[in-house]
Amino acid sequence: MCGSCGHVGYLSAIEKKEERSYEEESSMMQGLKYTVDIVMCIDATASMKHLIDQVKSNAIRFYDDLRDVMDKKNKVIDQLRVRVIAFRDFWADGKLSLEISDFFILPDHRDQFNTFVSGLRATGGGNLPESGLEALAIAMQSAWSPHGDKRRNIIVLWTDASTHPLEKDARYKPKYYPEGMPKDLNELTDMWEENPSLTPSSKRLILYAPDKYAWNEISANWSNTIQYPSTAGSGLSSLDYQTILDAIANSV
Amino acid sequence: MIVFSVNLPKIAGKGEDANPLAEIYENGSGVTVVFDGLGGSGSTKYELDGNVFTGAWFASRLVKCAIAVWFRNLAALPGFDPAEHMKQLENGLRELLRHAAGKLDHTPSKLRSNLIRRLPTTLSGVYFRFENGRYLAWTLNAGDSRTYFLTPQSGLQILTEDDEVGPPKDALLSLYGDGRISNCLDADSEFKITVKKYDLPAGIFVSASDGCFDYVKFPAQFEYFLLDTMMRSGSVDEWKVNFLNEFKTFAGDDVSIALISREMKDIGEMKAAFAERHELLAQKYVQPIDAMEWKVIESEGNDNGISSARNELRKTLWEEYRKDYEILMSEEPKPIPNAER
Repeated sequence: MCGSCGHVGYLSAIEKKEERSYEEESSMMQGLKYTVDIVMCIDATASMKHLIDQVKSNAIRFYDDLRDVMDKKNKVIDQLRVRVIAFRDFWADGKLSLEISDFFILPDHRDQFNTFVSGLRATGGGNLPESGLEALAIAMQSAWSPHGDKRRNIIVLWTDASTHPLEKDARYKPKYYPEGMPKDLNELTDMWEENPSLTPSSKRLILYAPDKYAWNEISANWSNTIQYPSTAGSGLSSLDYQTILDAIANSV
Repeated sequence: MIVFSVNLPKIAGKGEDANPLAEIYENGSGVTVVFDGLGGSGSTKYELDGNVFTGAWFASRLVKCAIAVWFRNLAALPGFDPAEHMKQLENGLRELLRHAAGKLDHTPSKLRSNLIRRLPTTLSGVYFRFENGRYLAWTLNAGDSRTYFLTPQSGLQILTEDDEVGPPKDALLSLYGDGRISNCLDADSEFKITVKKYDLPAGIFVSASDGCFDYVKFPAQFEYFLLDTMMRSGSVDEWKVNFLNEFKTFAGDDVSIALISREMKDIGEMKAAFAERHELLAQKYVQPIDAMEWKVIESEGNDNGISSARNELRKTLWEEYRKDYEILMSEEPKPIPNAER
């Protein structure tokens, strides 16, 4: 107990403070820190062949662009993690229907993240539609960080295809179909709107997806979503991209 | 009389808060209002006469001009009651914002989102009149900026309620989970300006954008920094400089604030009146919270329950601070229905 101020440890804290610059002290003591988790869902079916390099490039630069926007707004990121879910079609691709990474902590694991993304190949998928809703459900079930003063839980999805309805073949799902999937779009909607890890202030869903089922229904009805109706984001203007980054970084 | 207003843009020249309104009219009535253009939902860029600006930047300034003219025209009316004119004001602002958006929005974005609004801004303020030794005050609010009443005895007392999605959150909860705004002025929605009437003793009116109170570690720190920068100043101008220097070190957003003290004749009188409150805030809230924050930093990941202890301390101290902070809200002043509704 400190005899001067009556607070345990306070004087030693003051001594430590004197070793730091005023700006360091201010940012550590006062500014709230953000924990940012990003899950990137990438359609890696053969129809994406002409777009996959651009999508991979956009995925890799997304971290830097978001960090840049948040830095400019003095929003201090304490930890930023990125996870990748590449999806294809459970009705055509068997065990290749999903390629999922763990969370990479950036910038420390940037090389591993880049290697994982760069290694994705556009293949399989059969005919349209694809298994985008299952990828979205798995993204929502991620082990989101509970730490940090403020959080951002961001899902970004790139696809050129509509989705299989979740109720497709309800009684006879394909062999590698994942456990714990919602039975229909209503249940998936509940996963988004009522998931305690995805709060109204923290969650953002960015869809670079065509104006087709179920993306059109999701963007019309779910909270905190932004859809750029397109084939996997092609044709996105820099102004609209900046608008998306601002809507992620800022309070809304 | 002390009239204090500050507008600190996060990025020079690109601040989306308008200069606050802080005015005393000839009949002795006055007004403080802040306008926070919403940069998250209003980041769409427009070009006019060769200048490029965001919808948020434009909206806050447009609404500020309209509100300033509105008060200047109406505040002098005998017995002016803002609530009686609110429907007319809302309709006028809707028309103004829609007209402006129509003029600006030549190439609408392809983005579809409920997160993006055209020309969004908050508005939070108070019109007050001094009668028979007390204030009659009407707060006006849309969005998540805030208006307060400040006294040496009870400190900062909240007068407005944030318009946010979900159940109402207290100031500590909202600090650690910036909510999503459910209502603000914009070009497309049927927004609402909530009016509440108060009968108050002598005191100071304060309106602040969320850059003032959203980046502190504990709600009492906003009041502390406001008073601490004042206590370190010999004039209102010096207070402004100290306030700017303090808030620019940590605020993650534009900071704008308007404050009017009608009774205090100068900053010397204000410092004398608030010296005890300033000391109490330091001893009771700021120092214990700071000390605990340092323990968390010093633990460098080997937490051993320190974060939990810090969170418990926040809750305990918040329960104490909120007794006065929320005292005027707990009296449940009734929202005043618009006269024509």
